[in-house]
This record gives sequence, structure tokens and C-alpha cells, in this order.
Amino acid sequence: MTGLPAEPLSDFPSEDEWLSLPPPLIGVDFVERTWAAVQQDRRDQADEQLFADRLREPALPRELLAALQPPEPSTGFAARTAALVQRDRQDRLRSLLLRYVAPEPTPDFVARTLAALHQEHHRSLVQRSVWSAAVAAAAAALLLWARPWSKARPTSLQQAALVSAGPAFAPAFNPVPSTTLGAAFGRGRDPDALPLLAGDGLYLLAATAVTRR
Amino acid sequence: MIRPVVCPVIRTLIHTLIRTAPLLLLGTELAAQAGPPVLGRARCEQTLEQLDQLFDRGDADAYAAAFTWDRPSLQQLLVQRLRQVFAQPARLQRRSQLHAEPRPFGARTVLLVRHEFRAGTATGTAPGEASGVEHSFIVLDSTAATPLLQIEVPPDQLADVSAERFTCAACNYRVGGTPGWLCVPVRPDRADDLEAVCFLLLGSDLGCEVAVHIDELPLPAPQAIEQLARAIATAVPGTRIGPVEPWTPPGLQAPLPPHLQGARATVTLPDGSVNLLHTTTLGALRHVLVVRGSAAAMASHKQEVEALLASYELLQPDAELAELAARPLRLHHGGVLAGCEYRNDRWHLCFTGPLQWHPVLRCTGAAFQVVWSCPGSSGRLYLSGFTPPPGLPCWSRVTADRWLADLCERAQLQLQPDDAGWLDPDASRFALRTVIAAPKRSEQGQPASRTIRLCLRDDLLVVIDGQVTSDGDDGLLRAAFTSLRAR
Repeated sequence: MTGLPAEPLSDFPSEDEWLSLPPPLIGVDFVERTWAAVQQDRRDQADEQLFADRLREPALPRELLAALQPPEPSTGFAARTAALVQRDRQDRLRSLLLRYVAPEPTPDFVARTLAALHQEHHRSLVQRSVWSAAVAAAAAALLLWARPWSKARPTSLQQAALVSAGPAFAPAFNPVPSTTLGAAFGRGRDPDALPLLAGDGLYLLAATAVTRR
Repeated sequence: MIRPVVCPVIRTLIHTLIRTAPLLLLGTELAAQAGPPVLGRARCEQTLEQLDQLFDRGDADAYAAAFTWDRPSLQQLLVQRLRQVFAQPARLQRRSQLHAEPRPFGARTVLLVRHEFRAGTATGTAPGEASGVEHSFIVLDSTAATPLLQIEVPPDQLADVSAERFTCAACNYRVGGTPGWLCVPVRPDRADDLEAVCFLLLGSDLGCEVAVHIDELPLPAPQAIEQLARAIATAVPGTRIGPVEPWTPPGLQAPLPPHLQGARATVTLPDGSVNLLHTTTLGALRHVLVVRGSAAAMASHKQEVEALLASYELLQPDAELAELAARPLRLHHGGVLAGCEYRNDRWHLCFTGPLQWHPVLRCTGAAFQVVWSCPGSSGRLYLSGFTPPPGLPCWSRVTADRWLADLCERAQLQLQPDDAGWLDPDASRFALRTVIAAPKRSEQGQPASRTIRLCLRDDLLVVIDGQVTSDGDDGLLRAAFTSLRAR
């Protein structure tokens, strides 16, 4: 069993009959189109060959190509590039931070948190008695540690201006301290610049009077 | 027996009262019209002499204790500054005198005072040759002549103040002149900004700071307010920033300039004091008004605050944006750019930056500042001018050296010891000193050292500071360093 029909289909023409059939109708431009396609195919093959040949030979003289090779990186190139990238990153991060506004907690959030804390407070009354001594000791240690540090943290604009500008400079004693702080903030955008601030005259007078003698 | 004697006496008294009543009423009326008592010049000078004696003792706290302060911020400022000054090796001696006649201000008297300082040694022997001059407003209680506050004031900037109203045509605004507020201009180098003026509501702790700034690129008003609020919050931990809202200055007349933007926000410090930040922007020109004080004073003086904010107005609302940004720098700093050259007629100098580097006029508290940037690299060149520091009549080499040393210390730079010192003035009429400063801690990507050149005249210190990372740019920088010329 080949799977072929046992007998050939009587309505399919034999080879002789096939060859004796009349030829199909051919379009009037069939020959032209076929001939044009053959020629285009030949041209494409010739172009590909030419391209391949050109690839084997450089388009410009080798001496000229050698002269056009990129130079070796200068000594400061890597450092410069790294500095530029770093500055770019700083700028982008700073602009992102400027746009960031910490969300204010909603009244509902505050209420739920307080309620949860209140509940927790009652639940842990017994535990608290056990831990109270340890927590008190830890809090005392924290206070002792934080006290000198918190003294250094400004709590007013006037103190902040003093810390920001430094006591030898005029903007430290500015009756409009918001400008000192604003300028310091803006100065951060150009970290390479010297932090040029005017000196305070009285301080300089008292600091240099002995030197003048 | 008593009644017949007493009755004629009482009758006489009543008759006397009736006859003198018109005179008494007239006297009372005249007294009311004359207002509060005005302190005489002699009484004011006596108070100044007492303050000078306290100053000469070199005790900041004792000096501040002579005042009855209602403004903690100014008390803090004075004490901080005097402590710093008194900690130096030389002891200063002060002599104060009235620079103008005492001026009544409500129940207070405002004195414009000229202080002259002379430096003696710490042991208090004979005064030295070094001297300084400052001016300040000292406000006295008109009844008891008790000093209430002291604040530095530059007398030359008082020309911009008329009836407590500050006007600056260059910066295109006017503010103040409302009852109760004392107008005090602030030196730009003290404020570290182009222009600043302070208004004090006497009798309260309320103050209003007004400042002008030119941004290199226009900054939208909400972003400017947010930036200022962030600057405060960064400097004072625990600060709370309220939402940024649009703000239209109530004193501006419709139609408003099309490019005008306004914004405001409330910032609350950990000590409970409130800062109401307001800003308007017209292109790169930015006006900032910050009202600050205790919450209680804000509530009880709401009308005065609103009146002051309503007094803010633009002089030329329809001016061109480019002109609005260029005019303040041109008129306050006095310089212009022509290609890579900077010319300044006010300070009679010109300077040529590296060819093809990009120059920008920068708005700072200095007399002027220009920055040239090298395209395609991190090379920068800074040209900055500084007038004599507040309190000093002129620059000297010793003062400039000390200032540079303090500056390098602050910037974590170590001055190289092998510089040649000061060279006498050349054709540019500047004495010159060139120093090399190296970072105390070198970071990757930063140059190993930077060259700083000081150019000194009595009235001006020019600082030329450059930084490059390639040898080719170093040549350009050296050429630029020597290009400062007198005009």
C-alpha cells in the first residue's frame, strides 16, 4: 500500500495529453518584465560584488587613514569626564530634590495612628513595667549623647546664618538672614567655586591690629 | 467753727479751677498734638557714652544687657558678632556720636549714630593706628532713654529711603512708608545678595526682609519659593514648610504684567516663629519679601503686615524682561560684557577672559562677579570684586591676607608657603599677590591645586580664581590672569 489511488483519475490528463494542451494566455508585457527582472538581478549581483571588492581595499590611502585615527586620551581626560559626569549627576539629583515635597500626613492618618498607639499603650502596660527601667536608661544615654550635638544645630535663622557663613564673614551677622541662607543654597550649584564672602570689618580690625604693629 | 473757715477755701479753689479750666484744657490739647516726648540731644549723647563704656569693657553680654530688647533676633545677632570681635587679640575701643538729629518715631526716638573704632592691645594700653567706622540706628525709649535695639545701617543707602519708603529704580520696585515700620537698608555684602532692605515694626518682634536677586535662568515663582523654603529647612532642622500657593501682590494695579508670577508659603521654625515667604518674578528678576516674627505678633499686627505687603509696587510694570534683568546688574555693579571682555566703568577696570569661553555676569553680594566657563570641560575662571568689608574704611594688605586665610580655611584649602608675597602696584594700579591653594583632602576628579590672584587697591579687592583640568586650558588661564587693566 502506497497510499496512492488504485486507479488513476480518469479526468486528469496524461503527459502526452498535457503537452498537447494549448499554451496558456501570456500577457503582452510578460517577456519584457521577465527580461527586465533578470537584468536587474544581474545588476544587483554586480553591485554586491563591487561593494565586496571595495571592502577588501580601503577607500582612502592607508597613510591618510592612519593620520585620521583618534588621538590617545589626554592625561586629564578621564578625570575631566568623571568630574563632568559627577556634576551632571549632582545637578540632576539636586533638581529632583528641589521638586520633592514630603507629603503631609492626613488628619485621618494621624487619628488612626494615635488610636493605634493608644491601644498599644494599654496592651503594653504590663510589658512597660518590665522594660521601663531599660528604656529610661537608654533614653538618658541618648539625651546625654544628643545634648552637645543638638546645641550645635541652629534653631533660629540668625544662628543658621552664623553657621552657614562662618563667624569671620559679613553675611554671618545679616539682619536679613534669609538671604544668607538662600545664597549658600545657590552656591551649592557651583561646588568648584571658592565660597567668596565679604569679610566682617570689625572682626578683621580686631584680628589684624596686632599684626600691623 | 470749722465749716465757716473751710467753705471759703473750697469756694476759692472751685473759682480758681473754673477760671483756669480753659488754660488747662488748652494745655492738654497742645500736649496731645505735640505727641510723645522727644529726647534731647544731650540725653541721647549721654546714653551713647554709656554704651561706649560698656563696649570698651569687651563683654558682649553686658553690652546687650543694657538694652530692653523686644526683638530676640537682633539681640542674638549683636551678641554673636560682639563675642566674635571680642575674642580677637586686639581690644577695640569705640567712640560714638550722633550723625543726625534724634528723630521721633512714635513713642521712640531713632538715632543715626556714627561709631569710630580704634584698636588697642588686649591688655588695654594705648590705642593703635588701626581704625574702623560703622553707622547704626539705635532706637531709644523716648521716656526713659532706654536703648531698645541697635542695627547696622549704611548711610549712603539712606538716600533711597524717604518717609520710611524704599525705592530702587534699578531694581524696579518700591516698598514701605506704612505706619509703624522703620526702614533699614542693608549692605549687599552683608546680605550676600544684590540688594536688601529690612523693615522693623517697632514695639513688636516683627520684621520684613526685602531682597532682590537676578537668576542666571528665569526661575518660576513657585520653584523660587520652594527653593528658599528648602534653604531654610536645610539650615534649621525641624522646620515645617507649608504648601506653596499663588500670590498676587495686593498693591499691583491691573492689568498685571503678563510675565509676572507670584507665590508664597509659610515656614515655621522649631522655636515657633513664623516666616511668611513671598516672591514675584519677572523673567530673571526676583523680588523676595519675608515677614518673620512670633505667631502671636503676626496675629496681633495683621493689619500692619498687610499694609506693608500692599505697599510693594513695581515702578515699570511693562518694561522688557531682558532689560529688567540686565539693568540691576548694570546699575548696581557697573560692568558690562563685550565678547570675552568685561569692562567696569564704576571701578575703572577691564579684564579679558579666555577666548571662546562663555562669560556670565553673576548676581552676588560682591561689588561684581563674572564667571567664564570653558565649553566642553569643567574649566572655570572667576573674577570677583569686593569693597572694603563693613566697618573698615579701606583695604590693606594685612586685612586682605587675613581674609584670604579665613576664606581658604573655610573652603578646606591649604595655602602653599612659597608665594612671593605682595608686588607693588603696576600699571593697573593694583598691588598683586598670587597664591597656590591645594585642597586639604583631595577628591577624585578635582584638580590638585588652584591659583588665586589678589589685586588690591584702597577701595577694591579683585579676586581672580581659576580652575582647569588640562594643560592647554592652563595656558589660557595664565594669560587671562594678567589681563586686568585700569580704565
